[in-house]
Amino acid sequence: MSEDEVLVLVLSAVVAVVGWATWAMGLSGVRRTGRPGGGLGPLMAAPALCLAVLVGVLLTLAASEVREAPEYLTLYALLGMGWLAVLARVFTLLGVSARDDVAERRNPAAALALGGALVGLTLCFAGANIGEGPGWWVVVYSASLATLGFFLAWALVEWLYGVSDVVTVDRDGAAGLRFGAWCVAIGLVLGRSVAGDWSSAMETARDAVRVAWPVPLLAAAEGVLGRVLAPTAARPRADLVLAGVLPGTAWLAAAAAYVLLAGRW
Amino acid sequence: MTGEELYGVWAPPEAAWSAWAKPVLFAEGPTAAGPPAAGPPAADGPPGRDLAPATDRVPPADGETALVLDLAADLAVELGARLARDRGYRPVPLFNGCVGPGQPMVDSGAAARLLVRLAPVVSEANAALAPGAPPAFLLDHFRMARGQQPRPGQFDNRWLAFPPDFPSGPLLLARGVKVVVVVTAEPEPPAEDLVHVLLRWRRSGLRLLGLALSRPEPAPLDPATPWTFRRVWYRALATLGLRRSSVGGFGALLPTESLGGGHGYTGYRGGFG
Repeated sequence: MSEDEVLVLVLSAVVAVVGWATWAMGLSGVRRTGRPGGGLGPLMAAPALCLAVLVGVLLTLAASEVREAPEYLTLYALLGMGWLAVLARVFTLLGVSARDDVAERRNPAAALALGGALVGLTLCFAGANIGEGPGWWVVVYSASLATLGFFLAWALVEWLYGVSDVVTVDRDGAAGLRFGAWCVAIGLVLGRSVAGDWSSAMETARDAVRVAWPVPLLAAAEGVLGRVLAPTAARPRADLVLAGVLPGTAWLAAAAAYVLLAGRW
Repeated sequence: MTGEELYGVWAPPEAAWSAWAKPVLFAEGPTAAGPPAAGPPAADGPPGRDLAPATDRVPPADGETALVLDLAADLAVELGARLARDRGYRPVPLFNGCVGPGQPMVDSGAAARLLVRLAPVVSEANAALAPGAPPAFLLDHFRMARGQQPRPGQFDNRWLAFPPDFPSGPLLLARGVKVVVVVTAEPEPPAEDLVHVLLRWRRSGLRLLGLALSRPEPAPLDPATPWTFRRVWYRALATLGLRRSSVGGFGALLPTESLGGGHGYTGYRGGFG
């Protein structure tokens, strides 16, 4: 490993360990007086799932140099988890907080949404590791493009139907599930959009825009559905299967089908 | 009585609004604020004030009216217990600041002691209250310590209420609530954090009224829309400068030195159980 790679490895390890340790301690330290459940357990397990997804992608689809060298596997796994630990803090600015809404208010809808968002961002980063490339900086560049797309799409959905209010104020479990699945779906497409062998920054950005075209459509579809299914006095919480499981499965199926049809990078 | 049991009295599992009750003052343990004062466990007994006129002024719990008691914390607890006993409202404590040691910025101790002291009153009222009894949300009017700035060495337990701390407008409407009455000591505009809640409720179709305890009749409430209304980052921005407690809610000792950060409060006197 070169000097800069060692530096990135050490920094990533510090950010990942400190970031996730404080995240977990912040959630688990909240007393549970009279309020069990609320999706806190599954959300606490989400980072482990994200790590498993990332390592799985690194072991199978990353550059040959990464797949065959444990030190590079470690570098990119830690870089990814550090990346995710930082971004997990951004959710609060988007109106959904792991500590406030899940640990304190015991809101399972928020746990579903945040769990999906973490997996979706993991897929964005994992996609950036797919294919051959000259070094870690191209992973960071590609992951930045995918992550930017992820948050722009989230902002569009927020603008279309105020998902943060539906999840945190209405505590609509169906919306939380559907939005979580939507995050995974766009993460899949965005991850695919930045996958491939490196040629240049411009070419990577062009490819990302060209391949990620379903993301605005998925955002529009989720936005329209969110408006249609918005809580009302007659239906303060939507049906979990009809408004959550079914559309969530549809988003995932559509994204998976698109990635399969798009074929190899 | 453990903190868990006390919480069960004020937020019984079968009650429709218990999911919104804040456990912070209960999680610290019933003795965290010191032993409750001696005296009869009645909402109108010492150290209670004469709350009969205030209680009579509150609309009857006809199922169509919900209350927000934005009063001094101890007064909110007393009036909440009395409304449970005499008027059929379900008190829902939303206090989110720890009691803390030493000189806290917000005095939650009196309210914590009253939660213990009035538990028998509420427990008795619970037997008569339907699970869907209309809610009376209890807030501390002085939750932001009257705008005081924290000093080194102080226990900063200022806190704010946010829209997710209350049921949504559609849910209130679905459960038959049509009017929300904000009860304050004096006629004054609602605090900005509460305005974010009230405006959402009004948008959903709920009618808003303000009832000052110093005035005989409720009056329509028409809060102005703050520029931060429905901004996704509002909560993150509003809590900047407040101190989180590591056990939930707000509260942390400020460092005595000019440098260095405060540390989250971890409770004292053993917590609940």
